[in-house]
Amino acid sequence: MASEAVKVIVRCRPMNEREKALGCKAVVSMESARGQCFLQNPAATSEPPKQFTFDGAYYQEHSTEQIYNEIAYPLVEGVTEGYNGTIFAYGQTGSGKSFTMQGVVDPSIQKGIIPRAFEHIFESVQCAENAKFLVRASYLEIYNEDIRDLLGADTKQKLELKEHPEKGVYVKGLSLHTVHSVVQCEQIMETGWRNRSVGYTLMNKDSSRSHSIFTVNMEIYTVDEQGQDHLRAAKLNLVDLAGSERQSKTGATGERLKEATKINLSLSALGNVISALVDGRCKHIPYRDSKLTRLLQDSLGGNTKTLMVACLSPADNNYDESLSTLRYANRAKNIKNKPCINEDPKDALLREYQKEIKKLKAILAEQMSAHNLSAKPAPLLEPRLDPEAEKQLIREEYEERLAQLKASYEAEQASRARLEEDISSLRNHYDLKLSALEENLRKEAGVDEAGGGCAAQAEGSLML
Amino acid sequence: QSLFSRVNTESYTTCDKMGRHNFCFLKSIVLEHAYIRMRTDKLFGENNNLGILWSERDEIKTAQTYLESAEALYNQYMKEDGNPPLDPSEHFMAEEEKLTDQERSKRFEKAYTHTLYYLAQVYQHLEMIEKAAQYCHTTLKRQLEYCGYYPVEWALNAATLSQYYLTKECFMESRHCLAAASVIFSQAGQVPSAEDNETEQDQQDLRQRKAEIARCWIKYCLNLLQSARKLLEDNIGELDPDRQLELKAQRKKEEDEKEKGRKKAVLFGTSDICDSVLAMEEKVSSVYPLDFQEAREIFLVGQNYVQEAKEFFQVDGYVTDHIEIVQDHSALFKVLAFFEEDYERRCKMHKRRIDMLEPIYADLNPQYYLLISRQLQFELADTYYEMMDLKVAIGNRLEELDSHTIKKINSLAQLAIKYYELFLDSLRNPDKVFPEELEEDVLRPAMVAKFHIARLYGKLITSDSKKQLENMQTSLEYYTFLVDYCEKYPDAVRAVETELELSKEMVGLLPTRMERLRAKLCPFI
Repeated sequence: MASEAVKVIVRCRPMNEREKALGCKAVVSMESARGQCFLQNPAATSEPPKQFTFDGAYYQEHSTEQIYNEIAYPLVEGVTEGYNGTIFAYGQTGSGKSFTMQGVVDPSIQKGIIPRAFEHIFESVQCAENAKFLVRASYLEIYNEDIRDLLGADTKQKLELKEHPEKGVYVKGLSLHTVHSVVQCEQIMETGWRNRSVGYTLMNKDSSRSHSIFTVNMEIYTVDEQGQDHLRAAKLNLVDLAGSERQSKTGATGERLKEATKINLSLSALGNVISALVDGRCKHIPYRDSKLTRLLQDSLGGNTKTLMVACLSPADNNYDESLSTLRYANRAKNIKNKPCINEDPKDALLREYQKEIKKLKAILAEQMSAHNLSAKPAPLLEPRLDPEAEKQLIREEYEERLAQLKASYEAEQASRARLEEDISSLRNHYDLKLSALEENLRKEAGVDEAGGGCAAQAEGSLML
Repeated sequence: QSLFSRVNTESYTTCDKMGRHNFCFLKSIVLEHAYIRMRTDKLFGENNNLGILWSERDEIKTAQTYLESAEALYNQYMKEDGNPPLDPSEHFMAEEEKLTDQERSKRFEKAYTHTLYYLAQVYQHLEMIEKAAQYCHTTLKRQLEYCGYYPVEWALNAATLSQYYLTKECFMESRHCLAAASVIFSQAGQVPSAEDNETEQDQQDLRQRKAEIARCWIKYCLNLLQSARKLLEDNIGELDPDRQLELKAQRKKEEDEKEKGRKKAVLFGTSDICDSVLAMEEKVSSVYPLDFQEAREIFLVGQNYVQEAKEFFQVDGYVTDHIEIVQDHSALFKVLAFFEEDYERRCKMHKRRIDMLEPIYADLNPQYYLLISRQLQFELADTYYEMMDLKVAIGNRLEELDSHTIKKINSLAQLAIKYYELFLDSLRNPDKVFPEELEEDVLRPAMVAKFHIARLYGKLITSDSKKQLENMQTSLEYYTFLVDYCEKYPDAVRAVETELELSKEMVGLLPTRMERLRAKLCPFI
């Protein structure tokens, strides 16, 4: 659906060996047909499960192939047509994020969304006629609001985020690598991924706190029948979102950290508290550093399709993470591209309009009645005919006018209803005038008066 | 709950026995904090800066109770005693290690500041926004007085709080926050110039923060002017002279009350910055401007901040921010025009808007800036439209329209049409097909664009009857689009009720009018 630019789906992976060995119970269930996902609190079995509804809810019985075909396909197809697309993957470690996004080679129906997207893109490239493609990839990471090029010569270097009126938002110095095949894409991704991991070890980074964006840039060059060339550009962003795992899970395993509202003990968060109080447009909240949002802003509006895949583990010992993920995904559902185009509901304008219409109506009415009331007798060139002849004349003229009116209406008015309406009002008018004429003639029979005026009157009223 | 009452009883019992209030109240306050820390410790194993977790609303309410009683205790204590109580750690110290009075006081006050800060968050979660804001305000104030603060951070927070006050139209408080923000920010001082990369970044950040504060000031000026406009405008959007007189009279009366109000307000500042803050405040009014002169003064302040903000947020590098600032500048002109009586001068103000928006629009790549592009198209169209209307009004005052004015009117109308059309084109898909059904977020603007285009074609002045007929035909087509669309998609009616009504009327009247015109052109008798 065009209006739902942001689609959110959840995918729950099967229980893994470790979980089975621990005797974990499954707390996640789904009603896929309705896109519903249920999460049961293992510590409160009497409580009903929490219910969430999404654009898609997929469980163990669904393959990645199915998911791709149902939800991701239109998005990637859009990219090949010139629309931007963004796929977010969210989920904490062990939730099966890589299972869904990267997937496994065997069985092939579980091949991940990313390799499928690559295949899809290159298939369009192969199949397209009269079109030349330039496909380039880039891979960056955002950690602590620092941007790094995962495919760059120096992956430690911090890069600047800039905006250019023509180029849009871009990362200065980010390397772009031309790719010709699915294999090349995958290789590049792997290289970047390795650099990412190395970074963590060396710099003591926490992988769960970094976002990564792998972008496939497509430029499509076509020449149409008239010899005109067209250049379309589109991006497919594959975003791996940082998880929100708790930093310190001290205490016994199974300690429930109830996720709800948080009170921050440190005054350094005062800014966040205050920002949350400000609501509405026409206000400015001093820059609160979200490189991720800025980087993806052109993907969050208008002609872009966005898909968020939230990944879950079914096990009861991951309940808190699963709840957190579902809540996050739920919030994502409400991110609508709410473009606000300011148009002034100008009452003044509308009022003026109403005045104009009144005037118009008055003019038309005037002109109508002007004809009706033209006291000036018709030029006495016309000999005064006897009533029957007059009637005939009126009738003839009526027919003539009707024909003309009909013709002009047929030429300009598509609406048949209006035509009929006009004809009937014309007929009514004719009847009215005819009866008026008859009335007058009867009167005349009694009182001898200059009849020219009446004839003119009768004539005039037919001129609508 | 029981812990609290136990604490209270204990405190009073101890007091009776020992007759030392110090200990009682300290113990109570310590215990409030201990409660919080206890939970933190239990859950996290260490007293660090992670949050407290409450699971249900009940627990938030409990927290609220505890914190509010801590607050009450503090106030009572300060009233009755005033000497800083012993810090909990001191119970375990040898005599000579004990803190100085000053240090003790500092810690005590800091603890209280935190209490207020926690309360602000609690109120926020309970959706008591006004109270939350009040407590944020007090927290900020106390940071200046007791806690130590980072000037840049403090300034940004104060500037953000000022924006909250704008949503409530509390301009005096908003101005105060902004003035304090500017003053404190300047304390950040000059970062010593060095070749170090890190420091360069800091300098860059500093300049950016300054520009951010400038943007908050722009919003202040804009909001003040716009709120005044709402009070002064009549039902067709013009300045109502009666309202103006009314409000001016009212203002005279309120001047005394304002002074009283000011003294009660929570003011920032130890004595040394008080004067600087006051000086900043005096540069711009906080009361509604009621005539052009007053409006212009506020406008000029806003304009200055626009220039300041643009120094940092240049087009190359900060497109979105830059454009937002320019849009604000345009909005400042638009609202100033409201106060201007003379139509020609009004026109000039709108021309300034065109001059600043058009070039930016031309450079934008709509593929990456679709929303902004559409906003600009619409604003440009509306502005040209407004200018055309003004020229017509000016022309109507003259005996007859001279050819120069007619040309001007037509050219403005054509430009308005051009931008509305560009907006409508932006809705087409890559194959240039206009959507069958319009999406919710563009429905109304699209319909309004069609409506305005229809009217504009009706407003074009030409002596060539044939051309006039063509214009009327085009006009009719656009009105018809509206009517047909709403018939096909009845849900759309809500969005364009009035315009639809008028369109229906025009669709009814125009054909007849055109018929007459045609009759004149080719009479058949």
